[in-house]
Amino acid sequence: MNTRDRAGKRWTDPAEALAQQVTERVVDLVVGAIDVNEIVARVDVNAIISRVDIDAVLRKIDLNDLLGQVDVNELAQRIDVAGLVEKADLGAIIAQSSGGMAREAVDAVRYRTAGLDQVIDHWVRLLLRRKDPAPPPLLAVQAGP
Amino acid sequence: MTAQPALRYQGHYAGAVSRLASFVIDIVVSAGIFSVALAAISYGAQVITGNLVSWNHTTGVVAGLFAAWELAYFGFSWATNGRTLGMAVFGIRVVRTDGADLEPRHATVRALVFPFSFLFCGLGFLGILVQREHRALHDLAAGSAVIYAWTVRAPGTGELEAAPGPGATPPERRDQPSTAPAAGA
Repeated sequence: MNTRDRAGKRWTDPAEALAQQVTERVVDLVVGAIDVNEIVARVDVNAIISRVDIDAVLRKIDLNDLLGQVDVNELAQRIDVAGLVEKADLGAIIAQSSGGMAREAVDAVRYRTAGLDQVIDHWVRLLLRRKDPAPPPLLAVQAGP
Repeated sequence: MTAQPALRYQGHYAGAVSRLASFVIDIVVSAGIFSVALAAISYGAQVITGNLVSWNHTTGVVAGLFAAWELAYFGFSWATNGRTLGMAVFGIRVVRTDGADLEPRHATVRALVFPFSFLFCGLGFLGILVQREHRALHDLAAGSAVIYAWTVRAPGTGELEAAPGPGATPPERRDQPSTAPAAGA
């Protein structure tokens, strides 16, 4: 570096530092003055999303390549199946579900059989030309808890 | 199937199909138990005596034992639960004509008269078809009636919806129209 350059640098360095300080201050003032929430509120996110061609984005993704990178075996090994089964109480779930199905099946049989009773009763009443209404229920129904 | 239509049957007089189906189950089950019991007695006697013991089904002894067993099966079931196994399957129950639980003496009378309903080509059962309250000869003798009485539960949830249980208040009779569902419902 020669004498001329050193003399120039003596003037330019403080000026550059001053300019930097001024710029930082101005930026701070501007940023502080801006209400970011208000700006975000003005942004029409739906309009932006509608412009995005998601199909095109998805087409660009190679799912096979992505899945090829996943080690499924390692992933499966990480799953504590025994722990899950223990927590789920599979026996109780199976018992509850099969018990419920059996109960509903029995109820359906009862309902169908009672329906057949009504059909036969209807035909007997027609045959006997009985006009009086069927007798009322012998017992009232008690509602559950 | 929803629970609501099933609720409409509860407490009404049970018809011929339900009663016949429950009887078929009962006769199969009770005859099966009787056969197993005879076989067990034969096996026990064979183990103790060392001789082969077999039952001669043509004699009156086995028939008498079978009749006594059937009497005990039906009589005990009606006296204790108001229903046999077959009746439990089809959700029907024997009660007094006023809706009260069947007492042991009524159950005994019902079980004793029950075989007489088979006489004259099952003439005693005709009441189930033609009598207004579907009462057979043994029902008339014992002062009993058979009603639909299964616990209706909401499908899926299994929560209790309703049941005409013992002690349920009998509705005012004869002075209200029937809520029985239409035929074929």
